[in-house]
Amino acid sequence: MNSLSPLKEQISLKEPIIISNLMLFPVVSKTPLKELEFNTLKQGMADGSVSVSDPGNNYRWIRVENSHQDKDLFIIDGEGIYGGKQNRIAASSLVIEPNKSKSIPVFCSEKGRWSGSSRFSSSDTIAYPTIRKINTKNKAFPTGTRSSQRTIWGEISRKSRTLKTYSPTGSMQSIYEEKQDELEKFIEYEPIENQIGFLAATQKRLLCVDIFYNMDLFLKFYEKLLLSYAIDGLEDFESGVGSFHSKMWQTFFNAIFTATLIKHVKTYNEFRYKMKQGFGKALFIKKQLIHASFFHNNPEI
Amino acid sequence: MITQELGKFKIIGYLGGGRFGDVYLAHDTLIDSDVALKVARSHITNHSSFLHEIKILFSLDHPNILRYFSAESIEGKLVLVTEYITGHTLRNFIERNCPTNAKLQKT
Repeated sequence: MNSLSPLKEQISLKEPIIISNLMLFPVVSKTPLKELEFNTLKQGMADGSVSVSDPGNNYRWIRVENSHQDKDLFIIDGEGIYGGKQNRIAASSLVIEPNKSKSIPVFCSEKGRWSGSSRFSSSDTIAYPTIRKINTKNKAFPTGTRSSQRTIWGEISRKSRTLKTYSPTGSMQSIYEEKQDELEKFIEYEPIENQIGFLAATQKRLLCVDIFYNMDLFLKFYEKLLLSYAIDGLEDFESGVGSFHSKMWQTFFNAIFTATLIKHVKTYNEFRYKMKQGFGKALFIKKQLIHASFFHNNPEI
Repeated sequence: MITQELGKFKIIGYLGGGRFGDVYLAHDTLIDSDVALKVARSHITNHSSFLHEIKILFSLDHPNILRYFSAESIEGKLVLVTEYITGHTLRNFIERNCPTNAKLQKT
């Protein structure tokens, strides 16, 4: 169940698509899965079947209630949750069953605010891969540490400075808002048949690999993922021109299936892995992979 | 949105972009040399501005202006092929060398 090696026969990497300085390799499934269906935070918050509240006493946790009658709620690692006393990002991919509520581990993505309603109102972005990588490196999961939180605040501040954006509260969301015009072209991407994920790279580095349970679930997140990849892509381009690699990233993708399990956080069904070239994590429900994300060891290549 | 093999060209890197298109460094596999490709954005259906730029470039011949090679339609994309020149963009140059107020006051 927790080994990724059986997936090697089920999924593969297709030829890359290039948009500006992003190189996107579609991950496709040979056997489309249909058994499980998921609602998302965005859908649930819009139709009222999901409510998210800020307990107000600990910024590392928020309460999510899935009042949908029969659909599981899937929250993706790095998903932005806006409102509350400060904006947060989900610290892990996880599933909340129908008619259940759960406290979920989060990171703060808005250092300069601790005011407002206890309710969260929207979820429109996913944290860019550099933040998700820091998050995945956090060995203390699910509790988080002050040090990992400081690292995330520092990264948001650094990114904002580099991309010349400004937020009075140090919000990650404002980077996406201010760069909206430059991000628009990345939405041109059209998913291919049976696509369930991406390997995303720039001319300088591998950003991440995202693999989903099936195409339906992938389609619910792919536009938000593209924008998140593009935020890192914009910065990589600002720092100079490089060149696109193909074979190196295909080798990295194949290495995922040989990754060694290093940790299992039972409460969230999260499995953490490492291999020579990188590390990652995966969420399994009912012995099925729901979402996996992998990152390269090197910040730049 | 393009594939890495675009007709006879292999895309090597991204050089920059504007409102109408993205510019890539590419290798022309037929004549074995590097060129710059400006690829029109797919959501722009009216290519008149892009074509106007191509016509102007076609009419110019000067050592300080990059050379026009061809305009092609590849896999449904309008592509302008020009000489590839190394160096920095004007924006990079200004950002690195822009005089500060203090320097301006001295001069």
